[in-house]
Amino acid sequence: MAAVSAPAIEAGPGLLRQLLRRRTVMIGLVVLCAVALLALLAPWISPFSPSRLSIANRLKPPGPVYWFGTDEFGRDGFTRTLYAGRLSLLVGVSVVAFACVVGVTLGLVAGFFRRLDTPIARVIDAMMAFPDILLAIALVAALGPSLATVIVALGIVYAPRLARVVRASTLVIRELPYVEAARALGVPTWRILTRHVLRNLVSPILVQGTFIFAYAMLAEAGLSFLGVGVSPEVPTWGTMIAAGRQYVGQADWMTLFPGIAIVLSVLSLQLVGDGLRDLLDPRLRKDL
Amino acid sequence: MSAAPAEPILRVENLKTWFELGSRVARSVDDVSFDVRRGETVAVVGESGSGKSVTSLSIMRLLSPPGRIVGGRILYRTQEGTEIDLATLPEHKMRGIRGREIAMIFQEPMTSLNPLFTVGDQIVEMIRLHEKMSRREARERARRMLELVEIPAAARRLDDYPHQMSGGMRQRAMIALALACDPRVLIADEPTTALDVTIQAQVLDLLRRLQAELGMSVVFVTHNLGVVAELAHRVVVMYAGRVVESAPVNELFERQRHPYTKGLLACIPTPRHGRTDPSGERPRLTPIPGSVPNVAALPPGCAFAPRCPLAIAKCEIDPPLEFAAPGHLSRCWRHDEV
Repeated sequence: MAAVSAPAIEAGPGLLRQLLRRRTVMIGLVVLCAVALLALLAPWISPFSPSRLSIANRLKPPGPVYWFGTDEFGRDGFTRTLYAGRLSLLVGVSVVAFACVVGVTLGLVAGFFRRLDTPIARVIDAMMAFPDILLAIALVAALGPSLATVIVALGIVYAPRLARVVRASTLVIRELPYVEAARALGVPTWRILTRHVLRNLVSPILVQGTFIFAYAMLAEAGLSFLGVGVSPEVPTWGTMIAAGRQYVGQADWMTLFPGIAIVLSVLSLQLVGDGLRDLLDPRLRKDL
Repeated sequence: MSAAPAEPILRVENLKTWFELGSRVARSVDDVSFDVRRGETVAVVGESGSGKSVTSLSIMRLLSPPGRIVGGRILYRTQEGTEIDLATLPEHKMRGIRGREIAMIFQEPMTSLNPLFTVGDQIVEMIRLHEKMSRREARERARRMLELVEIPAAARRLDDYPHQMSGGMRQRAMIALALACDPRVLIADEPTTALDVTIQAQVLDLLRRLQAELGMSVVFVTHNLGVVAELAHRVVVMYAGRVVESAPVNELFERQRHPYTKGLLACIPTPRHGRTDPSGERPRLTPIPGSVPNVAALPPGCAFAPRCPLAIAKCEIDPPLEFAAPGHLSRCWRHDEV
């Protein structure tokens, strides 16, 4: 009955209001929006061009002109952190979108059609058993490093997480009387899947999507740091930290600020994700 | 009771639906035949496990594996007068039959409607799936359907979610949904079992009225013989996957030709059971001893024999389903002595 007696948990304006009532979620959302805004408005906010070199101003510590200091080529840290944020957010959003399309489709098909369940579920299990970052490195190595391949690789890495959640819920929903009733009234299978099953899965997908967003940003930074992601000239938080690694002794601001940016955005996303999960799970909702 | 015997609209012939579980085969429906005429209500009666629900799911072709129709025919007479065999109809054609020609309602009114959509949305979806109609027209039809099933303030109720309705109201909404495309046959699988007794009576009244008004045929699956007496024209009694008796309703209640049916009727409390006899004794309800056999391991011969008070040696041979009286079939060697 739990899944059935939960019409109050559909996504909608009511959900947002309930979400905002929680302090941690509120903080998370504010930070997230601030990061996103800063990144999106980078060309208008930042005082310099992200690629402007200035040998005279190499490795300057943070100060009134260079708020976040400069790097080994004299490029402005603040500007580059903002621009890097755009890419990190882009990677996050794209990975979530890619993982959703692949993962939700696989999960729905595996959960709904018994015959395809075993093969798909095995593949999902196999992929989940592989360490995330290793799989991503292997995929990027196979596809050749570029922003697009990083997105595709991370999408493939995180799709099984979504597929697993979607499959599990679909298995439950498939057996619910209203799905049988819909079939008995001649509703075609694809319509049952998209309308009756998928609509019920909005909440778990939303929650997983938020977490995948955070993981993807983190993983992209990791890949870039390891040098298998985007090329080092492109500013992402990962490449910036990788570049700053050599200068940690003399210019710790080079790693500090992109690091803070990663922590803030991932943490805020996790807070929002946690809030969503608690809110959408009726068992956890009571004691909150 | 219909005056002239109308032509059969649905003929189930020697239907066999088996569940193959490894090496064991559960013959849930074994050689079942019955007719449903136009405008007629046929009750399919039996205990849990008698195969009555599997029969209705077979007609709708809604069996899930390992259940499978292994034999027999389900002949449906279309509006054009041709008969098609639903047992072998391709799935995409079957989809046009479900809801449009034959609709089905289920036992659980609480969960048979999708909690995420309003009742109106669900009826509109159903109508627009089967008929070319604008959203506005479909909504108007949905409103009329809710009025037809006697939901008060129908226009307002269209925008209700299922959880805003009571159980009885939901079952009415479900009936409205099932009848929205004017099907010619309605299969009702224990539609009142989950409801309060008073609500049950209302829903049964409603079904009877709709059946008469719309002239549709109804297959009413139930374990409740009391309901049968009020609603059905004809009764098919099932036991262990087979038809054991079939007769017009009055005839069946007057004179049973199978000891199982007699046993079922003896289990129904009547006002007599509440009173004390002149002899000072209270009449007791008589249960049928034992329970329904497992259809995966049936004894040879008559499946009811182990529980039957009239069992004789001959019952080790399977009795055929024979006419015990005109229009009255029985599967018992001793149908004259019941």
